[in-house]
Amino acid sequence: MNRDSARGWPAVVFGGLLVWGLTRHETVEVLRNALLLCLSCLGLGR
Amino acid sequence: MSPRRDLTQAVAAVLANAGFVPGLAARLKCLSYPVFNCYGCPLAVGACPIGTIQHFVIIRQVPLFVIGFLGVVGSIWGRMSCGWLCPFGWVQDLLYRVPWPRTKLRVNTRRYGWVKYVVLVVLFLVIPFITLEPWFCKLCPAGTLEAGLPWLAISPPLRALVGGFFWLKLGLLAVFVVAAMALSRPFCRFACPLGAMYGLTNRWSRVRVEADRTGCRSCGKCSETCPMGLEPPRDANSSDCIRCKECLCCPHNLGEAQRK
Repeated sequence: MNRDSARGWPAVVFGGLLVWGLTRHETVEVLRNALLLCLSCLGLGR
Repeated sequence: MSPRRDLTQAVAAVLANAGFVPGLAARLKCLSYPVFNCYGCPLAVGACPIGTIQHFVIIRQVPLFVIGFLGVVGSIWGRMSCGWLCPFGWVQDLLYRVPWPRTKLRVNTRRYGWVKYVVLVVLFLVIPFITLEPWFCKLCPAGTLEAGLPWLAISPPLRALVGGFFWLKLGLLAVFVVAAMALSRPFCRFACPLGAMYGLTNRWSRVRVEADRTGCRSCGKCSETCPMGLEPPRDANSSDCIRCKECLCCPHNLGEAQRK
């Protein structure tokens, strides 16, 4: 295996993680929850 | 700085904050954007990967989707997104053009670049995991600039909520703004956890800068133009190279950025 083709493997592995993450329903739900505007993070909470 | 990179950064900043298009934010905000772009911004249409991972850390789950997405982007382009797409990186590039009363500072990134890995591990992972609070997001100067200040501008009732913590955030932003006028891209070089993560992928990314040292006359032109404070003949493809291609201005044909 030459060096160039070896560099393609990480993309395949991470692509697998990406697809796995997409298939997990809770991942999408968590992402949606994460998107709620967090005023305390913006320093605008009491 | 090349006009093409300027234009790309401007277009990327508008696309990342195209919430003025009806319905776009509602559909896309659950997807990760490849670079820093605070999803607290009133116009943001994508999720900041750093904010998203912080959220996963405090609920103690593994963010497979975001890690996979960043890994794919990094495996193809390395840190190129930092140089061509990041709105906060663009702001720093613009600030560096502001006339500075003294000589612009030159600080070798290789000497202090490890600081961003401390930020990545301590402020981004360990402390949020222990305290269950997204401490990096709470202190993030990009979030203050892209979300905190715009919200205060468009929503007068929120101004009553400004407290000491907001002033601390504003002070931190001011430090980076002033630093960016004296020193090129200080946040990217010494504090960005996303840059630290992408930096790891620079070792195997498909897009690379191939430096041909045979014609190098050590004129230093490439080092002068490098926004990351690197010495391209030696540091091309190091974890701090953002593939901006500014070093390719070399009059002696240093090399070329290419996809192998």
